[in-house]
Amino acid sequence: MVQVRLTGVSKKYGDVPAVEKLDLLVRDREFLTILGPSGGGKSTTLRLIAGLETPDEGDIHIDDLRINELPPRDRNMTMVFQNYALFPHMTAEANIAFPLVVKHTPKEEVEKRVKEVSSLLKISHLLKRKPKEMSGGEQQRVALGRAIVKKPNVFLMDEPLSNLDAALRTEMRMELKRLQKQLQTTLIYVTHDQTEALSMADRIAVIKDGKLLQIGSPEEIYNQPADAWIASFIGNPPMNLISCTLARNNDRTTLHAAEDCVLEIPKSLISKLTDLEIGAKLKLGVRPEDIEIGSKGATLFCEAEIYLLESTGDSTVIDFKMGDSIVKLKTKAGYKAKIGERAQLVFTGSKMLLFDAETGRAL
Amino acid sequence: MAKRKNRLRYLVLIFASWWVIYPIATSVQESFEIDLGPLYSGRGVSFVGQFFQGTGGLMPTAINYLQAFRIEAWPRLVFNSSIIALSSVSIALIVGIPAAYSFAMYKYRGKTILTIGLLALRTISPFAVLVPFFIVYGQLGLFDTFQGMAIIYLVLNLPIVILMMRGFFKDIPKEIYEAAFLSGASDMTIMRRIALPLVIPGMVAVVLFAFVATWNEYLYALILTGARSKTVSRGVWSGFGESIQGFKILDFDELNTAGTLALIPAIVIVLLVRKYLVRGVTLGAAK
Ligand SMILES: Nc1ncnc2c1ncn2[C@@H]1O[C@H](COP(=O)(O)OP(=O)(O)OP(=O)(O)O)[C@@H](O)[C@H]1O
Ligand SMILES: [Mg+2]
Repeated sequence: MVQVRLTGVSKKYGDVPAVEKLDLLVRDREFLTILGPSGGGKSTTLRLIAGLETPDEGDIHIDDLRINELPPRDRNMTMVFQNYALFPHMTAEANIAFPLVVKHTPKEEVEKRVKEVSSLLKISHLLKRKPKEMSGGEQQRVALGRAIVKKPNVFLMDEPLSNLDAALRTEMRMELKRLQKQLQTTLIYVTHDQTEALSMADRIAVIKDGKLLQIGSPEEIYNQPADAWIASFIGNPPMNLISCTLARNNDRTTLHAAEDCVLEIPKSLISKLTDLEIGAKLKLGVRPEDIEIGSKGATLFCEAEIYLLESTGDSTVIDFKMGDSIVKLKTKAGYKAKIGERAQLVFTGSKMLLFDAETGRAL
Repeated sequence: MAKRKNRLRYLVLIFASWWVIYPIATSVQESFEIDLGPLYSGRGVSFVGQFFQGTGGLMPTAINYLQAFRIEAWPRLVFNSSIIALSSVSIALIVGIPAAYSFAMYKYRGKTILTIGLLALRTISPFAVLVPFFIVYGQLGLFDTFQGMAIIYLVLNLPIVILMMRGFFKDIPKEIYEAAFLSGASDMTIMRRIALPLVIPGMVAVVLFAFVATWNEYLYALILTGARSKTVSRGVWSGFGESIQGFKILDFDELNTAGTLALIPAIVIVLLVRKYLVRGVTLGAAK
């Protein structure tokens, strides 16, 4: 059992708070991704867990052991860095063997482990090369090899794929995931790439401004973002956030989004609005996939002007101008429309979300 | 445009090289000549200030060198200088490298004071401490001993080793150290197996710098050495003398010969480690 628990952990660099009162539980053998914007405190969180930084406040536990002051070398964790941090003067073989050699592992054992690891990662043919004689992807694998060779309790990875090209990155994602399941080791993976997080993780922890905003499975994060910021960060393109006001029309509660866009509130959301007063400012969240172009008559529709068409190959994204804001709609590839035309937007009601405009929290 | 800029560069470089090389070249040239001037009494001899200058009748010869090697003093001087320089530089490395590593890696109280202290140690004027050293060395029995000179030069070399090596260690990306720490390595292992191999070019430059500075040091050697531990730099200026104790009237041919000979070790070392030296000097600059 290896469970990592952070309770009320804070870390400042000088006056800059990097992590603030962070509570985080990483479960045994899970693939946890820490996702967040640049400067949000992801790397700091990882470094605190690794012991490369000491928390100013709060506690870090591995299972029941408090490890705040335990030096990194005694934590039995390994880290893969964005720039790989291979030892430049050593061959791939020596790099991979290093964690074993410094623990005075017998020579035959070292050779055996290096062999196993390099065949697992398909780098047996690279063992005699030095880092500068290898491509980025190859160095990446060697760095992975160095991380897994000593069978650590926890893998820590800080954007390990961000220096690779798109194709290799996609390939490595799946390989990493497979590797983690195969090795059955807890993995904490830092990234600012939401696609990466969604496709790899068992659970995602979203960290912004040093605080944990939400933790949950990729589906939860995607479908029920706890916060407007998360909603606008995740998805490709991300969720539309339409500013609107709560209004009342002929005894019915409606959302007034723009001049010609008054929406009836779907039943699923009505219960959440009971505490709100008329005139409350809200944000309506709708994923671009959950908007269709239809005709009048549907209960949830708006009229808007086509502003821009973007083709992404497998789909077309249409930007509508609604009041002052842009609403994106995602539809099948090859959709034909003219810029400047007006169209009816129909919302698939069950997937709409409402956020408090001020706090950003989901209702 | 670029060509003209290059030409200008060459001009500057040529001038700079000339500036450095001219005195050395003169000295080397003169060491291979003997002045027949005095033989032509009255003719071709002029006096500039209090020194005479030969104006004619120079003859190429190796006689100065033959003489230098015939006299027992020269090998002895080289031996003395080598022992003193090698021991002080090696001790400076043995003590200074771990110190530099800790300076580079850790924060602790008093670090700034220590750094300033090290700089002060190096920049302090020798004139201020010569006499105290002379007296204290006399009392401690260190006057004119190898140990005494090695200690003096250790004091001069240690700050160089610590401050320069600290810079090189700091230039290694911090993730490399962190990866090593997380691999389970101790500081000693990291220093020996990761940090040092990566700064070898820099270290070579430091060793060379310290060695040459020690080899050429004159002032302390003048005051604190005598017949037993006299160094090359001092011997050069005193002329070879008939024996190591001797002190002769200035003889320019001998001086030039001695000066040329004294240059040789440094030149040989520089040539041997030239590859490292260039990388060492530019280490950290090109990133
Ligand atoms: N060594 C440091 N000294 C001072 N401030 C730092 C240091 N490291 C990080 N910070 C600051 O702490 C905050 C969090 O940084 P952190 O590196 O954890 O962000 P991150 O989420 O990893 O960002 P990125 O995606 O850009 O890597 C930032 O404001 C950053 O400027
Ligand atoms: Mg980071």
